[in-house]
Amino acid sequence: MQALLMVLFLVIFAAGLAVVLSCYRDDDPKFVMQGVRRRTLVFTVAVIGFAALAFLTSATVLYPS
Amino acid sequence: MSVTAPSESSRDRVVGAVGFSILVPGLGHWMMGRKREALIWAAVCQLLMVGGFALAGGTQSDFGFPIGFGGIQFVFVMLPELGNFLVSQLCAAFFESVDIGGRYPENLPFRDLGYLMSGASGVLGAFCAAHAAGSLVIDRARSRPGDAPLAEGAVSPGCAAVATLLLPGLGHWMSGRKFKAFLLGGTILGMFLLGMALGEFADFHRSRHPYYWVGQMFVGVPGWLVALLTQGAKFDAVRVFQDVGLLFTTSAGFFNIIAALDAYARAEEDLHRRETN
Repeated sequence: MQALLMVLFLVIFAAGLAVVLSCYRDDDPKFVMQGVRRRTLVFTVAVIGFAALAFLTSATVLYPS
Repeated sequence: MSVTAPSESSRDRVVGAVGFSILVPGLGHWMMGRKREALIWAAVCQLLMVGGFALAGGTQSDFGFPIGFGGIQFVFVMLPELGNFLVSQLCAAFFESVDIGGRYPENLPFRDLGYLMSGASGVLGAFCAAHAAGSLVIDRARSRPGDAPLAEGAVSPGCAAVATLLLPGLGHWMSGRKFKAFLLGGTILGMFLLGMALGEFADFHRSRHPYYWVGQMFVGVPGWLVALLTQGAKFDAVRVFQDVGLLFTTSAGFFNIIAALDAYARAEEDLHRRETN
């Protein structure tokens, strides 16, 4: 449950960041909304990717022998 | 983002106005001949700074650090008070922290209000610089021969930035960008309030989270009011999502800076476009 909530908070944060960046980049509402969708996905996937990489390396090559 | 840029001479004047305003809020306006605005900015910022130091017993210095060389101190870094540079340096020099005198800062009844006041003074000092720069742009547009009056939908870039500090999204609303106003305002205030709720409304506190507090101060007036209303709130245990709450509230403050910059740039762009047409 806690992990799911963390993912939810990650998506919320990514969406917030995407809104601010898209509003800064574009002025037209249509382009802003397109940017929000794309950037939310990119930020969320990037962070989950880094988390997965950190988990895998800590469980394998960085695991204390 | 494509923006028509001001000429080089205008940019030099803008840099000067920003520099003087950071040094002493209002000084940039004074140099432009806007003496009434200069006095208002100076009075508000300096009253908040000096009053804040007096109420907090000078303990703001406990959250800063000196930068110097060879035993000579050049700057005392206190954020966000540094936005009102000269008077913050004078206050740091003349108000000795009660902590040094052996008294407990916790016993000062209005210490948190003092922090809010001096912090708000620094934030306002930074936005005063934006206002001075925007006033220069407006003055330049008004001084062009044969120029039409500015009234129709034109908003000063500085006013748009300052309005964002009053309420996130308000600067965009004033320049006619209602969609962005709702989107940015809703996002920033929503993140801030969600963060506060995750921290049980106890995470906007300088003594507990001095570094996060700097970012939180940039949420502007709504954030300051929430901080005032929740000064008595305390953690009775470490909350599961306390760190998420701190991240959200601090990020909301930084997002508001970007929103203010965008409001400024869009309003300036409108003016340049109008001049070009």
